Parts: sequence; structure tokens; C-alpha cells
Amino acid sequence: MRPEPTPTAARRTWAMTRHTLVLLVRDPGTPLAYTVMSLVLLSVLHPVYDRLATPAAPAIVQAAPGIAVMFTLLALDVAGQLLLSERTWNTWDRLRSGPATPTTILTGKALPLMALFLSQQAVLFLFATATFGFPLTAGTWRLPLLALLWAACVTSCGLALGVHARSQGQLAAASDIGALTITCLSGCLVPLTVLPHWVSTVAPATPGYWALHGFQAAVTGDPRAYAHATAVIAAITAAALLVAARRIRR
Amino acid sequence: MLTVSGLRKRWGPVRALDGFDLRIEPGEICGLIGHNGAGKTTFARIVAGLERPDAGSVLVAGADLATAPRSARTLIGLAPQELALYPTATLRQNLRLFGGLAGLRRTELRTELAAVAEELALTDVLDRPIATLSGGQQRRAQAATVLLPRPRVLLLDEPTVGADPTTREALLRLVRTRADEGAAICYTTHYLPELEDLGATLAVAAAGRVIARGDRADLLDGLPGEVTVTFTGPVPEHLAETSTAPGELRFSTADPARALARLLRDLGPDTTRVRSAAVREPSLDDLYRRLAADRLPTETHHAA
Repeated sequence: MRPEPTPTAARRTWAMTRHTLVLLVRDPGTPLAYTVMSLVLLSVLHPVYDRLATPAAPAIVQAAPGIAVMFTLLALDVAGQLLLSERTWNTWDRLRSGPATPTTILTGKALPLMALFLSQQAVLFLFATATFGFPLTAGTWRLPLLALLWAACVTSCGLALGVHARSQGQLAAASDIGALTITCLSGCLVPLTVLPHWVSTVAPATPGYWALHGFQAAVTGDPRAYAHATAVIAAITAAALLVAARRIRR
Repeated sequence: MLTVSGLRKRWGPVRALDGFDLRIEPGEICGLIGHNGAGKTTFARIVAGLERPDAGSVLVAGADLATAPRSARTLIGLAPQELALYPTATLRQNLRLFGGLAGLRRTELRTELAAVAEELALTDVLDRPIATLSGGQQRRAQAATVLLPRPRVLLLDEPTVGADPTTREALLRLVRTRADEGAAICYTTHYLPELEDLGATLAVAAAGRVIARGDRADLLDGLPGEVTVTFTGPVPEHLAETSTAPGELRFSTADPARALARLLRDLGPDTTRVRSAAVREPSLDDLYRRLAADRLPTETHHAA
């Protein structure tokens, strides 16, 4: 018998991460579609946002973060699907019965997803900067940090959804309805100023609201609003991760 | 290596396991047989850490699954009956994942991957997605992902279901090799000749417990075999009572070879009318059928 291998959490996490990347690369249709759709929507709707713009909120500062948040939310199902597929393929029990901890499994799933959502936002912001003059450099380190945090938030929400969903229909319903509702109520698609007053009242209950305001605060240089937004998003991320980890734990 | 004591598990009103005991030594292949609902799958799921028992303990190389689950799980490899691979990923990518999760280092993984692919005749399809492989190749691919890290305890749940003869032969050879290397193997199957080919010891499960355990020879001892003789024309008159069909004589006996010799000697002139004579020694099928049908009580257990 060969001597016992000396497994480490890092090696296992890397194996899980690499494999998740493989699965994402093998089926890139959905994330690719969301990225392209976000660029199309920004281009088409930009004149509308121009008309709705106020001196306090220039059109592109509303449009680019709003659409970035909207399409990362729509990509929730990509994260959920990654876990749901494990059940369809019967691989979930093999992962659970192996030596990898729930933390390792979740981390291995989360890292590539975060990279994916971060890239999705990066493409949109770069496109908005090049085409419509989005003040990317004004965001300094705050913008990429918030983009990373938002990617983590969407990832953890998607994973929490994925570990609870029992069918494709359930996942699609939860992610599509959830994403669309959050997008509408948070003011990402249409500015809160032109929506009914009650929407402004409920908006802070949605993570999208804080992401939108965080991005806007990052480029307009409002450190207090930025800190508030990042704290709320970090809390939502932690809560969603906890929900996913508890469910996955045996 | 694997010691399971007093496992109990209820699913609502159903007692899936009711004092399930099993011990498998290093290098031993234990064929776990029993009818559907005997508790085999629940046993495997508990040992693999997928379910918690209501009572009882599982020790894997001394590590208690309840108190040191990580240590125990590191030593276990589970091959479920259904295909459990990533269909869109290639075989190599699947092997890398399961090898990596087992903690194999890069060079070690590369070496083991090439070796197991060679042993299971999968080298040519390593870079093909699982979904594009044939059924037999998928079966071997699944086995490869389990056998690659050389776990010290292997739980194989009907690994050859739907496999063609070549696949079956390759799988059995590799299972035997792993046992020779010191792995303790629990091999669940309904296809009993495989256990004879593997030289496995036996554990017969019924109603959530192991009702018979031991070597094949021990368990078959005392079971009747069968003698079949066919004649040109009718069965001799003095044997007509035991005739089962026109021109055929068939009966069960504890020592079929000796019974046939005696019968041929006693036939006298009728010997010239014998068309064929066959002896069938007691088989695992006989044992399985008898135990599963009778649900022998605990007192008749064969000690391991």
C-alpha cells in the first residue's frame, strides 16, 4: 500500500476551483449572453438616461452601475446552476462523501464565479468609459473594490439559492423573479427619482440599491456613502454564505 | 480496516438498518449481497458519511466516522451505482478533480492518472467529454475516478451494472489488484459469479442486518447441489418417481458427484440409454436464494 498522501486544504480548493472553471468555460453561453446584453442595453438606453439625468446624477453614473448591477443579478442563476447541476449529475454525494470540507467546496465554486462576475462588470465599465465617458478613474481603488465585493455578494446569494433549489424550474423562478424584482426596486433600471415614492422607501431593503449607491459614491467621491454601502453588501454576503454553508454541511 | 458495529437507521416507520455489523480486513474483498431493501445502500451511505446512523459506530482504520469524520473520509472511496461524473468535462478533467480532492500532488496525480487509464483501457479517451463515451467506457471512467487515489477502503455499489464483458473483466482485475495492495473492499452486487471470480468473502444482508458472513466454502457447506441425467427413451421404471420431465431425471443432493457415480453404477443395462449426465455443485445463487427466502434467524449466523 502506498504511503498516505498529504492532502492540504489549499490543494483541494485548487482542484475544486480549477474544475469549476472548466465547467464554466465548457458552457459559456449564459454569462457571455448577459455580458453582451448589458452592453447592448447600455448603448440603446443611454439617450433615455440622458433625458432623466440631473446635475447631481449624470446619466452615465446612473446607467453604467445600474446596468452592471442588473446583469450580475440576472447571472445569479449561473451560480445556482453550478450547484444544481451537481445534483443532476449525481456528483453532489461524491463531493460530500469525499475528504473536502463544505468550505473547500464552496470556496472552489465561489472563486471562479467571482472572477466571472468581476469580469462582467469590468467589461461594462470599460465599455461605458470608452463610449460614454464614464468617470472610471474617479473611482480610484474604490470602484474595483466594490466591484469585487458585489461579485462576492452575487456569488454567495447564487450559491445559497443553488443549495436550496431542487429543480431547474425552482432555480429559474427564484433567480429570475428575484433579480428582476431587485433590479426594479433598487432603482438600477430606472432612477428612483422617476419611480413611485413607495419604491424609494423599500429600495434600501434590496442589495442592488446598496451596490448602485456604492458605485455612484465611488466615482462621485462620497466616502461616507461608499463605506455605508460596502458595509451593507459585506453583511449580505456573509449572511448568504452562512446560509449556503449551513445547508451544505452534513 | 473497516469495522461497522451495531448500525441502526430508521426512515420513518421503516427500519433500514437494525444492528448491522461488518468487519472487513485489509486485502479482503467482501461481497455484500442481499435482496432489495436489505439495507446495503443505507449501510454504504452511512459509511461514506452521507447519512448519520441512529446508533452504532463506523471505524475506518481506527478513525471513528462520528468523531473524526475528515480522517475517516480521506481513507474511503465510494463508487455509487449510478453514474456520477461531470458529463461536459473530459475524463482527464474528472480524474484531476477527484485525484486533487483526494490530495494527490501534481506529479503523483499525473502518474496515477496515466496508470489507471492504462489499466482500464481508457488512455485513448482521456480527452473526450464523459457524455461522448460509450456506456462501458463511462462505467470504467467512474471506476477510474474512485480507484485513482488508491483509497484504503473501497465501497463499490454494483460497479459492473450494464457493463459489457470486457469492461467487467477490466474492472474486476483492477479491484483484485487494489485488494492485493491492501485495500479493504466492500463489493455490493446481485451478480454472484463476480464474487467467485474475485475470490471474495461473503456477507449476506437481510432486514437491515448481516445474517451470514464468512468464506464462500464455509457458507456453501451443506447446501445441496444437483444431478441431471437424460435418457434415450423413458426414465428407467424404478426411477420414474424422481423423473422431472419425460426422459429426464433431476434431483438435489449434498454430494452430487458421488450420487451420480452411484446412480450410473446402479443403472445396469439402462446405462447404455444415458444421453447426458451433469453435476452442478452448490453455487452462491443457491445460498443467496435460500438465505434471502428464509431470512435465517440470528442463531444460524456463520461466524466471520
